[in-house]
Amino acid sequence: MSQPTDSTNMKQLDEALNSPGQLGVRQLVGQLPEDVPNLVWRSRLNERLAQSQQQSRRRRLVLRVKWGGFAATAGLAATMGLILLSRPAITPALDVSQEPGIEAAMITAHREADSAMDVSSATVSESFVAHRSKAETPPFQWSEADLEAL
Amino acid sequence: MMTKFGTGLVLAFLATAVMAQVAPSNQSAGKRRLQASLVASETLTYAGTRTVEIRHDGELRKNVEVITAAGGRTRTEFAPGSDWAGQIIIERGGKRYHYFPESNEIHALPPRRDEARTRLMRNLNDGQKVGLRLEMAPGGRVADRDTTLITLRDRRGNVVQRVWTDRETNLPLKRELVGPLGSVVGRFEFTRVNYHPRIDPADFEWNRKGVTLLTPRDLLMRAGKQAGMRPFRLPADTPFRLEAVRVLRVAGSSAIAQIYFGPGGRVTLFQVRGQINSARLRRLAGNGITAYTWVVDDTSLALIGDAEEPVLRQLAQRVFR
Repeated sequence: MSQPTDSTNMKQLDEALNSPGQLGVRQLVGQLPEDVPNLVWRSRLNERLAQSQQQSRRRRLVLRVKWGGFAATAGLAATMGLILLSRPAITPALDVSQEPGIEAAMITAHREADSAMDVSSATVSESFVAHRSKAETPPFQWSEADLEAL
Repeated sequence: MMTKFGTGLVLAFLATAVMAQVAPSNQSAGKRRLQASLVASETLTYAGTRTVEIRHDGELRKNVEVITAAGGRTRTEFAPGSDWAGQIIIERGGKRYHYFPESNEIHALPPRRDEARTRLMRNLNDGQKVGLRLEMAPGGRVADRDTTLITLRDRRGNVVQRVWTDRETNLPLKRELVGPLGSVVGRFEFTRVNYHPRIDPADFEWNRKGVTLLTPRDLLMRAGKQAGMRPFRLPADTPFRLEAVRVLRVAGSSAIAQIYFGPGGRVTLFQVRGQINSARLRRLAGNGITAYTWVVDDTSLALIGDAEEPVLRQLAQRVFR
């Protein structure tokens, strides 16, 4: 049924292609110089394509990590937040004894006296007194050896 | 899977609940143990030797103290080789007599024992407020005795103090005070203790001809002469007692430091000829220490202590000379 229709079409097509107008166009196209794409340009295009492919792959990976690990990330962030909220901000302690000036000396003197008087029987003023008059004759300091001498 | 998860959740909840129950009981047990150790150190009869290390002008000083204690009276001698060798301290009847052989002086000072008790009790009572936490654990052997270790931590978890108490008698056998940077700033440790010593009542008396007896006020006047300043002071009607005086020399200038003890803890009154940078002083204070400064004529004064600034300001208004 379709065969006579196809052969008619083919005949009409051949006639159209061999028409004088078509032959003129064919001749004009044939006279055009052959346009070979520049190899440098093609190489650049390839590089760009490769780059864009790599970028989109990276983007997809980031998205996958972001969305895939969202629960873990959110959980970690929440835990960190809770830890930070439950702990007061820690200000770095200052080693006052290393600081110069009368103000640092005053703080150090107060702290030293405070802890010294807590653990020791002695007081902070003793060293001042002890070194003041070393020239004084010390009293007798008896020892076991003195007892054994007689 | 869900059953396992549910069981884990229930176990975790139970563990938390048990821990929450254990922590407060450990806290109160630690507090009771510390209170008992205070009573023990004041009432027990014992003789012992302890090594004491304290910081003075940034240097660690070491003393070996030979202690005899009976019914609230103590006698402390400093063993040969110690920084304060030859000195003797007798504490009895609300007085503390400190003998200095080189200068042939006895300083009559306020007793230290009441003070230590007040301070520790205040720490314990304010524990909840300041977030002080107590932990108890076996402390091993100290002076050949089994001990319990009580660790005191601040609200941030930093160790503030460690006390090893005799498991049987509660006597504190070892103690460490920890500074703001975590290093030990003062410590003592018994190396020998005898709970059945032979006590001579004369051990708690002093009788020495030609000795000069000095009060804290005499010591203050002496420090004033040494520093070339007429000293300021707190009046006797305040609850603060003067317990030590010293002269500081920093960068060519002198400062008199007076250490007082009162209901709020220790407060040091400094006087300097010249200027004190109050902003710098406040910045350096911190860690529970407050500073208040003011100027009278050519003298700068500062009160430094673990009290609130309004308390220091109020106290500053009573300072006179």
